[in-house]
Amino acid sequence: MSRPRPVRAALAALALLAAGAMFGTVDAAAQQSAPPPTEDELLRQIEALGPMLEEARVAAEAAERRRAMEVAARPRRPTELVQVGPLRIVTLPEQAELAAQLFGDVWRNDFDGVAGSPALAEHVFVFQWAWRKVEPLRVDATATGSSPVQRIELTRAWAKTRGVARARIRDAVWAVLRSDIPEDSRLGLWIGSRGYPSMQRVARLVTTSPSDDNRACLAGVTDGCVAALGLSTGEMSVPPEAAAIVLLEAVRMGGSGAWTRLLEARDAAPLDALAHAAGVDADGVMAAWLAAVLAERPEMHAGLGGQAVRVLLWVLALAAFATRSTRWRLA
Amino acid sequence: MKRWLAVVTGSMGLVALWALPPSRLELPPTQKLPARLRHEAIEAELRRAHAALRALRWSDSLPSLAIRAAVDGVALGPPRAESLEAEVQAWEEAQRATLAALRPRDPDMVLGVFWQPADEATISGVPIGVRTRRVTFVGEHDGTPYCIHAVPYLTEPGARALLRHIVDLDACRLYAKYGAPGERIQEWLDASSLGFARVAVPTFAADYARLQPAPRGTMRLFGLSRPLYADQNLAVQACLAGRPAACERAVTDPQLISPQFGDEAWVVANSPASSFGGGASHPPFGYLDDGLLYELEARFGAEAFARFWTSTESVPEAFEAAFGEPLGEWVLRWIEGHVGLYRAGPSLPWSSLWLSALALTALAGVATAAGVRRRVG
Repeated sequence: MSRPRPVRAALAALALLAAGAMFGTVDAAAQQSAPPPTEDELLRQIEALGPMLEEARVAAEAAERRRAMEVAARPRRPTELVQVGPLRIVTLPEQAELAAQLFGDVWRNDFDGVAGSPALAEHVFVFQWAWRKVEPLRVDATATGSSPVQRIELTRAWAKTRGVARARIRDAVWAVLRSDIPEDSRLGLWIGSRGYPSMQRVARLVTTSPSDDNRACLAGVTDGCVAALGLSTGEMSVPPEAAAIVLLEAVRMGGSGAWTRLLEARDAAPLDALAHAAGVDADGVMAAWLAAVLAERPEMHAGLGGQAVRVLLWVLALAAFATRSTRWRLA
Repeated sequence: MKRWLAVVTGSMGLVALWALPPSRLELPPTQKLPARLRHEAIEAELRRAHAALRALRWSDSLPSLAIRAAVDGVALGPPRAESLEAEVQAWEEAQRATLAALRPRDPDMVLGVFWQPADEATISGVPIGVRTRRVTFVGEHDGTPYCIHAVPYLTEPGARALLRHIVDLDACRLYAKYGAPGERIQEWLDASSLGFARVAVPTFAADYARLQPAPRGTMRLFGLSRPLYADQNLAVQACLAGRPAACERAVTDPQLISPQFGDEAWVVANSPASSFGGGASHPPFGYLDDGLLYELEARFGAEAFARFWTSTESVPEAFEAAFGEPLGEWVLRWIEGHVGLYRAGPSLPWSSLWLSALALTALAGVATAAGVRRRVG
């Protein structure tokens, strides 16, 4: 008896699926139990991949050049150059005031006192905070020369508030400043490659961590702070981003020329470099850092009732709607 | 429509517009071109093969060197540079002091810590993965078990800074104390890339859990929050929802405990390297389980831990025989103690449901009372 055509087709499809699943399983199992490649096999693989890599690199660069030419052929949007301290910002004319405000806030609050950074003097920041899709701004080379560009191009769909925009600006400025310090210098190895820290996060972790060094530091013992920051043993018991805060505090204390002094001492022990930049001893640097961190300690309360209040608010809102209907009208 | 209703509805619409993410993700035109993605994929393959080659070459030479050079079961190979003499001396003293303090100590196990220039035994000009990550080799050479750390360094200043950090033996500490594990325990350790013994601090999970930030996001507006590790495998989520069988699977299934990210996962699977130090968090519980074995050792004592470590049974059976309780149930209590459990399913927290019922009852009472008064009046 022959089966109807749709049924046969369905059975064939099921058989194919089952076969596929079986072979898939066998493949995966074979892959897992396969012995690791030998040295000869690895060498052959590396030799085969070398020319392919070179060919792919050439193709990628050609494709990127083509795209750059396409972008260059598009009409250029007018831009304006804004100067905030040593920061040069290229932005749209209608956002020039906003850029000056946001960069000004970040510069005053976080980087005030950093002067003489070669990287900052060299870089240009491209800023826009668009309501819709972000079209990258093209920088007019006649105004900025061949400066390296650090882009902060945000859409309000993701960066909704000025706080978020400021945080992104802060990260970008720190990334540029950080590039002044060679990664393999002693100072560079100590500060690592982390982003600019949230002061509140650092404050919370410093004050809640169970480390003895942290506790000693909070009690005002300089050696505790030095140990907590990894300046004596290399082991940090505070979040590694805290190093950025110490560094900027030291520069702030040192005033004019502090950044240059810091860079001069980049291969000295980090604590010595900080003291050299700040122009005070280690006690002074640690005390300034601790004071800055504690000043940012967030007001925290236990979460008792928060959820209850939210539930109550929603219930009251819905009840308000309900009481406006005929059946539940109170008045 | 009444004006207040229009205002409320309009306001809610605005809040929703503000709070919701865009309906489709538009990447900026700076995204990578397919040709660049292909270049990166080939480079990754090359990087990994090269890293596996280096690991293979190092593993060919280091175990025999360690066994030949070992004094009291320990071979130290500091960086070779005259300018580092003082740092090297301090490092060697710290290492020997750490090892001398280990109790118990297996007399057969050879330990080695060797500093290697990162490009030792590599091919010049070819990119390499996991270049500066510490490598651990575990195995047996001519019948002698070994656990070796190879520490790559790039420059002398870098080595000087690192010499102060690298004083801990991490996973090798357990090998030093209890010797070679049972065969099936070793298979389990291999599958996890020694991931449960990365940090030799028994209180690591407690410290780590305490330092986690509170859950964030707009979901909090509605009194909801996603559980920690919500992006992990379903078995992990089921474990967090209080199911012991899922907990057992989460910490024993090779698919769920092997490294998942970057070059490390490939190199561990395709070379003699057992593990790489540092790097991204590993499944199943991210960084939280990095000190799990040390926590077990501290909680149940060296004798029970040695029974587990050297058992020839499977991990769940060895666990129950050594520690007296099923693995799944212990892991469940462990994770509950550190991050808490959550209720699985699409429902509100109990507190919200009870409070809602309570508030509705109270409001119904008020409405009824008001209605009754009006009729009487």
